[in-house]
Amino acid sequence: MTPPSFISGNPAAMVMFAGFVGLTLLITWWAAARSRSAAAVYAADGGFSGLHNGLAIAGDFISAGSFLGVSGLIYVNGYDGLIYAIGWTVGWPLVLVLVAEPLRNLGRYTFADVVCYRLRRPSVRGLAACGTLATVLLYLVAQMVGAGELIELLFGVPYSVAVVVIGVLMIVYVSWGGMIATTRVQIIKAVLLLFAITFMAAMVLYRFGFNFENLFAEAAPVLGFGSLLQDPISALSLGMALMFGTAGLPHILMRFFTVADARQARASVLYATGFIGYFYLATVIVGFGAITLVQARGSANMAALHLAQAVGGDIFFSFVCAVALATILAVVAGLTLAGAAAVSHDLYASVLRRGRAAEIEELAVFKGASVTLGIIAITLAFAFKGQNVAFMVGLAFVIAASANFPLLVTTIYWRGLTTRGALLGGWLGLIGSVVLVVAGPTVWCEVLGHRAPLFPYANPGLFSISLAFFGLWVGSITDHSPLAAIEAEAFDAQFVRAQLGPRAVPDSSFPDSSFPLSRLSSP
Amino acid sequence: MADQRTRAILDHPDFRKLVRRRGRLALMIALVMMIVWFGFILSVACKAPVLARPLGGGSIPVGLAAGLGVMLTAFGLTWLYVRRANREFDRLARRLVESLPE
Repeated sequence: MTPPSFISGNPAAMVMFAGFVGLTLLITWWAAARSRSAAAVYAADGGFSGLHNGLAIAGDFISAGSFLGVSGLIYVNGYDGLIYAIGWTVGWPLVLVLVAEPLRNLGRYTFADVVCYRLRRPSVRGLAACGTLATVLLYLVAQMVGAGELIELLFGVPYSVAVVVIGVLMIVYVSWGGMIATTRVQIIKAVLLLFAITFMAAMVLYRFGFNFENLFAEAAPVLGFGSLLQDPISALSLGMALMFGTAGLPHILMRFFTVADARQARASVLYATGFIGYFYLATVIVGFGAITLVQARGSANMAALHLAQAVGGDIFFSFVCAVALATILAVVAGLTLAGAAAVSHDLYASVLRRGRAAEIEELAVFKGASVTLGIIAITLAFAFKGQNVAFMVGLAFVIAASANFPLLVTTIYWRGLTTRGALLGGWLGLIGSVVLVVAGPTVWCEVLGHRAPLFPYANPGLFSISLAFFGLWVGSITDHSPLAAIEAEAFDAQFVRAQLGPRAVPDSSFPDSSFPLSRLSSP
Repeated sequence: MADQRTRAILDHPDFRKLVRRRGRLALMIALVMMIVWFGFILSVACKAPVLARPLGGGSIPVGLAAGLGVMLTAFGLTWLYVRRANREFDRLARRLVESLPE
């Protein structure tokens, strides 16, 4: 087998990708007419079924980085890839039993809605919005840089052109089509990706007579251990970041508002877990297949694409390239939507205008925010061109696990959490994870070029997550303010609604405007 | 801020039953998943050579089989919760909400 040559241009893949873009733009145009209210733009009017939302969650969650990265890591390091494949699956049972139903029952559009169900100070919402934006921006930049490099390699299109095209398309989907279009883009992408990986895994197994023993007899001797898990602390830290980060990714949490009720939210997670678990399982097979079937040892991230060529020929190779692009596009659209919603719904409507902004005004801000975020992402992608941005996805997961997740679960389940505790713990988790990642070996040594790291572990999850929970606890138990007493009292209604939904505790029994700020003499 | 309706629900035997059962199942699932996952990842960090050994007399390494087991556990636990919630918790919750005065 000769190593495939990436012919400049790759016309078949271009045509297929153009087909995907054409179809999704048509959907966006169709969705734009239906996106006139905040409920439609942020949450698709809660109109998706559990199956569709499960597919969309899988579409949001599986990035091209993980698709190419996991198979590449297995190809090069064996177990390292397996760890990620498993780590991205194990968070879902926690999402299901801890946050999915309460999210649907308590919130409307963003996870900050849930955090602020009883902690109503704008400062708390600002914190949740910052957690969202930090996660989203880091993730977005990493995706854009990866996308630019991948497109340059596969299609021979210059990096700058690729980044601008991806950026503009994502802005179009999000600002015109809102959640309705973005969800449909995710669904299409998920189906394409599942089809591609199934075909590749099946072809690998076919080569080995559908006998795993044969496959691993060739692949297992090469299976090695990377540098990922050198000691128990690193292992625990990475494990916590992967598991709890999944339950704190704002663009994933937002997906639970696109279904009608808690039952559908639950079904979404079951479908999503099935699709995601299946996908990574198949990716593991593809990774092992690459060890045995791909001779061109070189760039790890290209292992899956080389394999596509080896098992499916030129046309299938082009198809997988096009799917990889569609994957990137869908993920960045989901991220941009979550980020823009944090700006318009949380920062503008709730913090800046204190809930007095008209809906049409909020939606105008949403459009502006999605365009602005897109431009920021494009600019940052230019700034980080050619640099090692892999740490950014890791950092996004650590922030999601250290700031968003602890804040969300404590506010749902712990009566004692107060505004002060939320602020202390949330900011400690957010700032702590950024500082520790920057001081750690990945950024301090590899990016900034210092000799020795200030903090020894590449992944600070264990420390930053503990710090956040400690802050949430200490800040709350030392808070004896009148506001704290009111917030504790409000837990009952929140708890009942989290369990039973809005039918048991309607919004009217918990009026936004009069509680609890009006009961305090000073705002 | 517990108004009368909220108070009535909180004291309702069905609500207590629902919260107790769901809470127990949720806690069990979260704990099992964490033990399995952290157990796996710690054994990769500490006992790597053992995991590289082939399972039984075949060629599939122990670590890989264990890893697939972890993924199947995740899906199994999810399925278990959804099944019980659909069959049992939803019914309890519906009966409770319908019994409440408007």
